[in-house]
Amino acid sequence: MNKRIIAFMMLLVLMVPVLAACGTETAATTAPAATATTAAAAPSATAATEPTAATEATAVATMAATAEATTGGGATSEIKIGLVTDVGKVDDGTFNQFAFEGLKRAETELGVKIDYIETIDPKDYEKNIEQFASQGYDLIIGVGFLMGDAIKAAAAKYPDLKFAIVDFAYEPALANVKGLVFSEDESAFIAGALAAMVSKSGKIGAVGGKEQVPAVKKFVLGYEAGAMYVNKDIVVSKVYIDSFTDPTAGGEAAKTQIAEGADVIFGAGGQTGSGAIKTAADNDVFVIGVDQDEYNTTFKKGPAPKLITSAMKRVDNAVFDVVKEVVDGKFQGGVYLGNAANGGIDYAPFHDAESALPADAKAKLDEIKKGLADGSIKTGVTLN
Amino acid sequence: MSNEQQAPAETKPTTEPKPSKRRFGWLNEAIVPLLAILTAVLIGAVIVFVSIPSNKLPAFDLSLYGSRSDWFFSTLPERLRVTLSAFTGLFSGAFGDWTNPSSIPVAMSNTLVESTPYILAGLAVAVTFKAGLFNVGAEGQLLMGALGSVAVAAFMPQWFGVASLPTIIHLPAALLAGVIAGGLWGIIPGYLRAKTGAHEVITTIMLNYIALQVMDYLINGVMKDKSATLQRTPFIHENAALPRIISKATDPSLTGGQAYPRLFTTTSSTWDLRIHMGIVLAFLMVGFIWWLMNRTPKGFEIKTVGENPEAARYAGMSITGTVVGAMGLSGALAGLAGTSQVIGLEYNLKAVFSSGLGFDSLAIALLAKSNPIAIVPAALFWGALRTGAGAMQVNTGISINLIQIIQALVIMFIAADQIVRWIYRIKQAEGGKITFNRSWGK
Repeated sequence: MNKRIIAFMMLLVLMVPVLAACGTETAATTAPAATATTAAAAPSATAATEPTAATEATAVATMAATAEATTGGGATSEIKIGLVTDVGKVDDGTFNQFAFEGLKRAETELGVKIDYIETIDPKDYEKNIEQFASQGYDLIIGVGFLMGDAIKAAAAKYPDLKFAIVDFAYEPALANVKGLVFSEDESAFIAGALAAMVSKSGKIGAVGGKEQVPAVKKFVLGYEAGAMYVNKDIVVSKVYIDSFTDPTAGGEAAKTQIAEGADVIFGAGGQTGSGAIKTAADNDVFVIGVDQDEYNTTFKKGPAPKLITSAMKRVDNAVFDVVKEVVDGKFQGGVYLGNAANGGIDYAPFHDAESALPADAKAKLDEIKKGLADGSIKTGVTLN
Repeated sequence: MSNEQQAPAETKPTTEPKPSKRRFGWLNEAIVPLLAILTAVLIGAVIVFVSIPSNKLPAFDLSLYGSRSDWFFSTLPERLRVTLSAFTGLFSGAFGDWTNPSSIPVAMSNTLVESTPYILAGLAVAVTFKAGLFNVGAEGQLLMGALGSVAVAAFMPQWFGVASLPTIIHLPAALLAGVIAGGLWGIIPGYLRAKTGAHEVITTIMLNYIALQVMDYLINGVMKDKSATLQRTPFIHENAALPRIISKATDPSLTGGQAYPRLFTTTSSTWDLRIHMGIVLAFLMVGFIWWLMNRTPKGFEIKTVGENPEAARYAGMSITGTVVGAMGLSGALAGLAGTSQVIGLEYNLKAVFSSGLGFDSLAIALLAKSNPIAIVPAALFWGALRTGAGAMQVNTGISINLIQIIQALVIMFIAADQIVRWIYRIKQAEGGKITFNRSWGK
């Protein structure tokens, strides 16, 4: 009998290293264990001299929090926002993460209550949305084109709730759904222009995800158009891979393009695209990220001397804005189009690659961005 | 628990040990899977306990807590509360929040809907386990079944140049098309195995890829609904749909103008359920397979071939016929799983239909030890975990992968049942060995 319990305890003990490995990821970002203990010793002295300050600070913080809660929850109850990711995670470095970051900003700045569900399987979209809708969440945000039908069905079933969907717009518009779409072609146009500026071989490559997804195609074609705008003789090699979750296939495609002489690679397709630019950077050619600043995600804040920029879609701003509209009571169904004019798209800073770029690169890109914003430059990208 | 059972048998062996053994025989069989689930859930609880995200706990602050371990221990009560709420969330997501009775029907229905394909595909794999085969191809057979049924359900009237066909013809035709398509996809590896010795594990894996690509090609090609932005087929014809049991009337603007059948139509949101007749089909199939395996000569042949092909051959049984038949039956069941998803639940076939259902069904058949009746609780367990996962994440912010970790641990403890037997001191049951791995050695 005792033996049995001991055996089970031992099994749990065996689990501890595994779990410790999970825990250190968060611990490591703040401070390694060794420095943590020394750091703990040092502030204890200061903490002793001014313990009241610390407690006071927290007291103020809690007071502020309760004050906010009471004012926020005065007439109406607390505003609740639910986020349903596409297949992926809220920290996977794709638009799921970006949308979640916008939502987190809304939590701190607007005081809304946020919750999220990470989708495991495309057929769970409906169920996950239902999870929030049945509990009367004020705004439910779906991330991704693939959720189009599920959000539409939920919006019809719950006409009193508000919905938003990233990367999808309804034709005709629905009264309680806001589609958050972006001019990917403009974003990639700027990136393509930079690619053409730094390319020495006159050949550049793009590795896309699923060709059937409009955003991917607009990225790749916009990139080509931008490169041609700078150098009309440039050769752009385009590859689409039928997956967003296959970094190896992305890497292989990039290697093929490098072998053909391409010296800048643009990866536009979730983890597949990230795999492509990671492999290409390892093979010593310049790379361009997509959706968000991949310096922070794929390249884990550097050093990344080969990542020259990323073609960014400010999904976070769009999500934040739609939450703000709900808080302010100004929400309307329809379309939010993020483009160069309203700052919905942008290019990422050059980070570690700055020294390798032409000195006037930033000025030229800003000029192109301005041209796109005021309409004097057109990407000319249309999808059949 | 088994100790309690063995103790009386040792002390008073004369007092009819046989009937009691027979009465609780199923418990002996079920004890290892149940303990495997219990152990996996306990380990899952430990994982939740340690990995609760920071926003659900008081933040770690050096000036308040002397060290990280102080912080860990001072948040123990809060951690316990969140750990508990993970499991209450899991429960309320799967079976409803019992303090709010109106949430119960929807949650229960979602769990049953989720379990329906697991039951059918689990049966499919169980049949091949019984025959000593390892059908990894349930996924492909399921996709082919979905494809076959959607072809008939969406396009059959236009083959005959009519606007619609009566339900009495169209619905059985759609079901049959799915079953036949899945069955044929199962017969191919069965025939290759019986005639050429090509191992069914290899061929079924390869056929999975072929099925996936064929589906992708057709959905992006001739079967694509040109008016839809998403890559999917048109909505199936309303006369080919499996009725939902109780639900609101369909909104034709969401279903391409089709008004799908319901056995009972309601206007109440509480009873607007997704549960469809597929679950009834699934239970019928459980009964049929149990009858086939335990009450017919064919079932006996399948089991004999599975346990000892040499003896079966000596007894004059056709190995080829049995292997092909078992794979065909398995494919037909998996095809029916895909069919019920398409014509009962989704009403169209999307390019992202690929579900992993076929792979999960391997786990379910293992958990049920290939017993057709036990497939039902195993599939319900799987369906409940999947259905409750969303509510669990809302409650705790724990990664939804926890569910997959628990599922994986269950399978690990089933596959290596010696671990469970060792922890809980259970003696090896006699004759309870799983026979599917026989074909690996050959």
